[in-house]
Amino acid sequence: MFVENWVVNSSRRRTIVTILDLFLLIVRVKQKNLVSIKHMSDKKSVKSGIAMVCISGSEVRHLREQQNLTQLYLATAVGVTTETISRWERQGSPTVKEENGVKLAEVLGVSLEQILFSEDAGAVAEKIVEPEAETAIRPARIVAMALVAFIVLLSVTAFFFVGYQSVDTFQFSARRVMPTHTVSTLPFPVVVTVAFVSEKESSLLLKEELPPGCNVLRSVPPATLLDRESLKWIDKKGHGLKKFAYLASCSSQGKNQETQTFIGSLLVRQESHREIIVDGPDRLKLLEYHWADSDMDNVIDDEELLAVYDDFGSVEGLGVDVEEVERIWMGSGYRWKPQEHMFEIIP
Amino acid sequence: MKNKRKFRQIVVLLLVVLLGCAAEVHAEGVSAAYLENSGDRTILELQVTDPPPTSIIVNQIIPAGVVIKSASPGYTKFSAGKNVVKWLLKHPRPGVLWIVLVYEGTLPGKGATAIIRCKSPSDGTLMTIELR
Repeated sequence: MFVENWVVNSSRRRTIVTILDLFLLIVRVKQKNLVSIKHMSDKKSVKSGIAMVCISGSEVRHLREQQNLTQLYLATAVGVTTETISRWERQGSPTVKEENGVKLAEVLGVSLEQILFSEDAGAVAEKIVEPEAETAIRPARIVAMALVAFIVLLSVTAFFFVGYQSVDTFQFSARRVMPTHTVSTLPFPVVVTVAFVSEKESSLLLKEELPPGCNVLRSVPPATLLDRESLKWIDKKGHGLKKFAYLASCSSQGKNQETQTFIGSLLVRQESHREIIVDGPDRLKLLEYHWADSDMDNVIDDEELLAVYDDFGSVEGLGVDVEEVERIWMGSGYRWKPQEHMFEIIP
Repeated sequence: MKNKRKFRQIVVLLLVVLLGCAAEVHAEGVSAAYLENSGDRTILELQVTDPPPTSIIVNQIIPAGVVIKSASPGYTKFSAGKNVVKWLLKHPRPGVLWIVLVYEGTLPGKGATAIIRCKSPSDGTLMTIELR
């Protein structure tokens, strides 16, 4: 059963399965009841609580004409319209109220049995019963269809419910912090903060792909897989807030002010797996400003120094040259010296 | 009569609140107040909350012509042209910290002013406290 295969390993899911099975049981019981109703109607020939009989239209016409009676006379005697008498006579075996059948037989001076449709006795019973049986089954079909529709609706609701539960127990995010620019070939830091909340043990796969011309110099914690332009961390106990950092450098390859784009993804695996793109800044320009000088005014001010400590200072062992940033902050400014390949600090 | 009394009470309450705000200014992570800011010294009190910010930068602007005799703890940077004394406090511990500046001579006017900056420990936004 699809539902049983789909719903596993959860008390909530088991409850849903139980509810669905209960409804399937109800459907089966209803179907049984409908069969019973059909069998009963075979014997009683009751339509909405009124006894019905199947008369022979041709026999009624024959008896009426034999006695030179008009349709108006019959209609008046029975208490129906002439159109009704005409219709009964035209139809081969119309079904009429037993009460009207009796009156009709009396007017024609015969017994009821004589005007009943009588190919044979079984056929009569069948002709009497058939339309009634159909009438009895029709609401049963509606009930069955309504139940099936309800089960489908319940399944869809359960699917979204279980999906929502997964989201609820499976929240994660990944945000990258990196400078918007750096000097070609000089190292700069990148930190990806992963927040993961889950009730279950899960493994994380964080992947960072660097643009062409960029190299990874160091990673903290050490990357599980590392080549020159990509890193992968596999964390088997991925619960909580974690920082994955690396030191990289990019070379301009002759194109000044070239924008480099970083791409990252985080894959979380539990019963199913989900992947998100690492959020946050992803572009880096190669310019002649220090990576910590975010407003590119050749001064590192208080806010920029605090940002360095806040964003990158907490990652131990990454090797960010915070002392150089401090020295520039303590001076009144800096300028890039391309020939010496270093920053000159203005006192 | 009763209304006048209530009005006075409200005014007094507002004044007390305003005075309290003026005496001590705080941001998420740090609060600061001058304990002394006249004569030959200033004592700036910093209260660092738990969790503390990663680092705090304290700027004190002293009146022109005033010469610093000593500083405790020692300052990180002094811009003579702007009369700005800076402290970079890395990984501060939660608690109280006093920054004392002793001058040669007395402070003129309203004394020193201070600008304290740090990043919010909760969301990383820049917090600035100004004491005048």
